[in-house]
Amino acid sequence: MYNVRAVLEGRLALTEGLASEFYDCLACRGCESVCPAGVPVGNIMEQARGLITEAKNEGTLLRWAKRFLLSGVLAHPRRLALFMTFARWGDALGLRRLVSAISPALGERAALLPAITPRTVLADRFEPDGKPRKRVALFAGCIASHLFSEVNEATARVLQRNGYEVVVPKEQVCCGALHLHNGLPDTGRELAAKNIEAFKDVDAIVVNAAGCGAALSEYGELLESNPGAKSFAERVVDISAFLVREGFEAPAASPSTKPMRVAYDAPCHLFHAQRVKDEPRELLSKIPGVELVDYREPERCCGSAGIYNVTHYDMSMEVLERKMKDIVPARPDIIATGNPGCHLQLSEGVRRSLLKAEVVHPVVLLDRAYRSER
Amino acid sequence: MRHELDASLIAKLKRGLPPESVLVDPHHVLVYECDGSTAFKSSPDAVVLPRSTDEVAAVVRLCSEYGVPFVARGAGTGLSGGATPSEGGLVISLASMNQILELDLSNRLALCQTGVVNLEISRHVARHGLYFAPDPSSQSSCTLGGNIAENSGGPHCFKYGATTSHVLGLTVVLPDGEVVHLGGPRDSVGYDLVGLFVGSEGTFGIATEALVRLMPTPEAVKTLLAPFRSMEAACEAVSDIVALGIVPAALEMLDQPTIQVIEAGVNAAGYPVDAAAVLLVELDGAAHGMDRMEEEIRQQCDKHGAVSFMVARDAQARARLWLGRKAAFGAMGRLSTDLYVQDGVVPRSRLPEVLVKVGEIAERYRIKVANVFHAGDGNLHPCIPYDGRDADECRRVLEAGREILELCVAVGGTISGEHGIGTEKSDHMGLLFSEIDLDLMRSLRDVWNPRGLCNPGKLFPTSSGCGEAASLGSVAAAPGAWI
Ligand SMILES: Cc1cc2nc3c(=O)[nH]c(=O)nc-3n(C[C@H](O)[C@H](O)[C@H](O)COP(=O)(O)OP(=O)(O)OC[C@H]3O[C@@H](n4cnc5c(N)ncnc54)[C@H](O)[C@@H]3O)c2cc1C
Ligand code: SF4
Repeated sequence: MYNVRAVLEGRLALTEGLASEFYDCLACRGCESVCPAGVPVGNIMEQARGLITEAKNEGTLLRWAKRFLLSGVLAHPRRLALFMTFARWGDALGLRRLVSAISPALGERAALLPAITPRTVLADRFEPDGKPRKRVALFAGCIASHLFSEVNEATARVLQRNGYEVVVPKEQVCCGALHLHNGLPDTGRELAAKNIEAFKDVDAIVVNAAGCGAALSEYGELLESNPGAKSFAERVVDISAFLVREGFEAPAASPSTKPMRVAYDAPCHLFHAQRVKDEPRELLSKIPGVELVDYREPERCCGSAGIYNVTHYDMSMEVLERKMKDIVPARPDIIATGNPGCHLQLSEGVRRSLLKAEVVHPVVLLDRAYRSER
Repeated sequence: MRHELDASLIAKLKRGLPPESVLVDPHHVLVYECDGSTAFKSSPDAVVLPRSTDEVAAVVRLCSEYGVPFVARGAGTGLSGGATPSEGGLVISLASMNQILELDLSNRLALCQTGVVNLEISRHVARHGLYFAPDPSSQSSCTLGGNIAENSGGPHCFKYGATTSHVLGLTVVLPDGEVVHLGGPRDSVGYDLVGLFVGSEGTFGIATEALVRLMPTPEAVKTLLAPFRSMEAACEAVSDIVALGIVPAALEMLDQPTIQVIEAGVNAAGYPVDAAAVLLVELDGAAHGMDRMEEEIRQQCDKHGAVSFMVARDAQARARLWLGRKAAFGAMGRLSTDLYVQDGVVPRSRLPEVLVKVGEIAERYRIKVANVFHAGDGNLHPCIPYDGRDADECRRVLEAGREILELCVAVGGTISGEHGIGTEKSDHMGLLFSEIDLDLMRSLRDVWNPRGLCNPGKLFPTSSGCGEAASLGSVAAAPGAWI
């Protein structure tokens, strides 16, 4: 932080060495939860990384890769769909094995990605069960809608079941979080403007991915000049916070025939950035058969941190190892977490630590419980 | 005067220490340019992070050989520019020397490396029912070495005394690189060299290990909170409580601006934001008799018109009340980019009038001031938030700071309660001491640090400042001043 200030004051040159250190930060924002002065560390980091992009002070290859993948592909739903189709073919043809053969280091990173299954396209409207209580919109996410379509479906069903009419605006785009975290604020702002337009007519914008939720709920500061930004940000709400706030029906059945030990691991962008701390646990505790288990520092970062586990593989795995050391003794059957990045990272942790546990989004568990009622 | 570092010195340092323990890149050394008082900046040429007494000694010997100035640094939470490398050279960070080496439970002693964080000592021995008593509000990050150098106090030092009462022995690397052991568990023969070293602000050498006294955790603790409608009434209540002969463990006061900024942040403690002042009192010791003390304190607070009187229910509630207080300086970061924390002492009975005058000074210099202080010791901390990028504001802040100190001295107080003189107040020493006093102190320093390489530019007036102080001779210490 002190270095960022010195750069802004013109007292320090933004060298390549310094630039790369700005990227060593996980930007988990854990410090924001304890900072007495309320320093918006995440926001400052984003701005600092924007400066790096302006000064073109990072390796050319990295810069182009980021531009291509984040601004070129992720920011455009149709290009992303095409890209994912290629990726799926690649996966089927054994591309991962090929990558590992060429470069074991890249192979390790590729192993972090889940198997790419064809996407089930989400409907754009879900009628409520019974008389509608309210109309809410679902933020489906860009890559999540491809890799985690199950979570979106579960979210929609759970809302339906609790009497909401759910709409999924077609014009929505990626939240821009990865762009903001990686020094591409202009793309981030363009995406934000599109989303503000896409969601202008709904009461609540329900999000099931912590990273997206954090970025969306900060549009107010990101686009101060956009008159819709503040109201957009205020309507953004995480699914667990929404259900706990508005009340939801406790399921009558357990999702499993056996009792489940559930470890809830708090995504940084939910706990620290959005300050949604107790709601996911409260939601889980209402599910029959769930026993919440305690372990050390569930709110500490798991090391996923967006694309950090790809760009800073070794450090990220060290952070993960510490996390697993805390989780494993609690002997969970399920690790619940509400963010795609953490989901992938913890799955890798489970694989490495030989733990027999499934990583699940809390809302998916709730959905399973509702569905076992019948 | 700045020293260009010899490349061969860096090469030798890198040979003796692991590569990641020698920092020379501009952005690495820049963060060592100041401590908690960001108004005083001077970047070092290099920073080293040794891990043992031997490594410190080797580095210091090299500095001595090359004639390069050096300064020890703990956590850099100091508030008087003590760890600022005024003349460049080397910063020797003790941050990697954070081990607790030995515990002697029967004698309640701990041998620690001095880079250990204050709170870690208490955490480490808590399961034996012991703790380390000095508790500066920065205790979650400041180091034992910094506490020793500044003779730091804390809220609970009202009852238990500052750091000096809790340090029995020291291992010190003298400024020529020689290693000496001072004091020990039962040492009372000869000069009290440990006592002399504690409070020497890093100018006598580098302490690498310390033998400290541990205290048994008190049987019972009570934390009380009383909001008042006026600061004056709150101060009078403090005087009357002390006059009763009760020795609370802590007697802390926060004024309205401080309360409001704490309540706006993550450490909101539940202090009433409409109170003009809140008094935070802690009682500790034997459970027997504590209820009576609580009752007597309540009566004094009632007498002076306390709005309410709250007793923390359990350990968690107590911790919350304390967290707000301890994070007060940090919370001020919400007000502006920089903060100037003043540190002066006045006789307790003069607190109300001094606080009014501090308010007047602030108004005259068009600055804001928030007060949070150790009321029991009359140790004031007027906090002045400012923007370090505004040169005119910086000047006004420093001048106001000086006037506040003159005020303290004029009512029979002194210019620092616990944060030390460092860079910040070296030019104000003349407010309190004559040239003869200062010369005596200088000659003492020269015995330990004859070449002046160890933490130069601290404590004593620089030549320009000296003349200024002389012209302010009219504010010489009042009769009976606490010097
Ligand atoms: C939020 C906040 C609250 C504070 N509250 C209090 C308080 O309640 N009471 C109080 O007294 N102070 C307080 N302080 C001031 C400060 O924390 C203390 O002075 C503390 O002891 C400094 O420790 P440090 O490790 O940060 O030392 P540094 O700032 O790194 O160094 C301070 C001085 O000690 C010297 N030094 C450091 N280590 C050694 C060593 N091993 N050998 C020789 N010299 C050494 C340095 O050269 C320097 O002169 C507060 C500061 C902050 C920021
Ligand atoms: S906690 Fe906040 S005030 Fe403290 S160092 Fe970190 S950013 Fe600065």
